[in-house]
Amino acid sequence: MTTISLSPASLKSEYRRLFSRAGAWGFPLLLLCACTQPEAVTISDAWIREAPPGAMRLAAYLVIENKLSSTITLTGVSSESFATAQIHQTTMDDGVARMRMIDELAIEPGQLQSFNPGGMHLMLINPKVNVVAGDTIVLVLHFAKQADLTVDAQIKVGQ
Amino acid sequence: MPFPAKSPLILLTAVIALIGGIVAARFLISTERVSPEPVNATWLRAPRPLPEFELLSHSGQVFNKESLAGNWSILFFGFTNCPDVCPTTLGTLNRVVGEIVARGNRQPRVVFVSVDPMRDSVEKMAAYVPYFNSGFIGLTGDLADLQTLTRELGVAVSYSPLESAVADGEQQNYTVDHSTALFLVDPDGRLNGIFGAPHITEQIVDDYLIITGQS
Ligand SMILES: [Cu+2]
Repeated sequence: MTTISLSPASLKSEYRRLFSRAGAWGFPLLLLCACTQPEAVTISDAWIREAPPGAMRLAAYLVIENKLSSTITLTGVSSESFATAQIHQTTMDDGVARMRMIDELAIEPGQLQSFNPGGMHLMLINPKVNVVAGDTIVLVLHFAKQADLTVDAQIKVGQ
Repeated sequence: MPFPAKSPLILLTAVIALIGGIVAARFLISTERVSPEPVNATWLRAPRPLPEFELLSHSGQVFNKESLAGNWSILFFGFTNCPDVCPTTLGTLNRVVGEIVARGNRQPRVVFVSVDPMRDSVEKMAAYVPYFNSGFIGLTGDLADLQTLTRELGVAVSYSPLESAVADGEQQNYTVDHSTALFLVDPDGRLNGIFGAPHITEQIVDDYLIITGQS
C-alpha cells in the first residue's frame, strides 16, 4: 500500500511518515494490551472433532484461562449450529467409560481449564449443519455473573 | 556346645545351595521363556471360545461366531452417540491396523459392536463405522444377542439418562456406560487377549504381534 520512492531526498520524509504512523497506532495498541491482557478470561485451541456421517452427538474441546482475580463459573454452552449443547465429563472407572453432564464448572483465578478427549468436553447435540474438517463453528460460552464469550471452533479430524 | 562349632559349615553349605538354586532357577526360567511377554495386554494362555451369537453387520449381513474365521479380530464395544471415547478409540484402532500393515503383517479385522442397538440401526452403523477405516465392520442387532457376547467377555454395559431434555423432540437422551477394553479373538473364534485402557497405539501393535506370534 505504501510505496517508497528511491530518491534519497524523499526517502527521509517517507521514513518519518511511516514512523509517525506507527507511533499513532502504537500508542492505543499499547494501551489496549495493558488494559485487557492481565484482567481477562481467554479461550484458546477450540476445536470440534469432525463428525462421521449421521453422528448426532459431537464433542468440542478448548482451553479456558481465568486471568481474573476472582473465580468464574461456566454455566453452559450454546451454538446456532446445534439444537443443544452441554458441559460433559468423561470418567474412567475400572475400565468403564462414563459420560456425565455437569451443570456448572468453577474456574479459579489463574486456573487453566482444559477440555480434552477423555476428560471434559462440550457435548454438541443434533447438528443443523454439516460438520466438516476445515470449517469453523461459533460456540458461545455462558458464565454466571459474567458476559458470554464467543469462540470460533475449528473442525478437525480427531487425533 | 557342639552346635556353634558346626554352624559356620552349615551356613556355608546353605549359602552355596541358595546361590546354586538361584542360578539354576534363572537358567531354567530364561530357557523356558522363549516368547516375549505382552507389555500391557492380558494374554490368555488358554484361549476361551466365544459363545454362539448372531448380529448384523453394517452391510446388513448376518455376522456370527463363524464370521470371525480366517483372520484375527479386534473387538471394541461402543455406540455412535458417543462423541468422545468411541471416536478416539476408533481413530487409535485405525492407526493400530495401519502400523500392523506397515510392519509387513496382515490387517486384522476390526469389529465395532454397538452397545446401543436401540438407536444404532444398520444404516447408522453403515454411515458411522467405515468413516474411521473402510475395512472396519460395525455390528448391531438384538439386545439379547448383544448381551450373550458382552456377558461372556465381561463387558460392562449400563444405560443412564442424560439430564436436561433435548429441546427438539429427541426423547432418547441417554448415554451408555461401557467397558473400553479391546478384545483379541483368534481365527477360531477364541478370546486370546484383552487390551485395557489407556489405548496407546505402539503398545497395542507390539502386544498384538506378540500374542498373534507375528513380528
Ligand atoms: Cu458428551
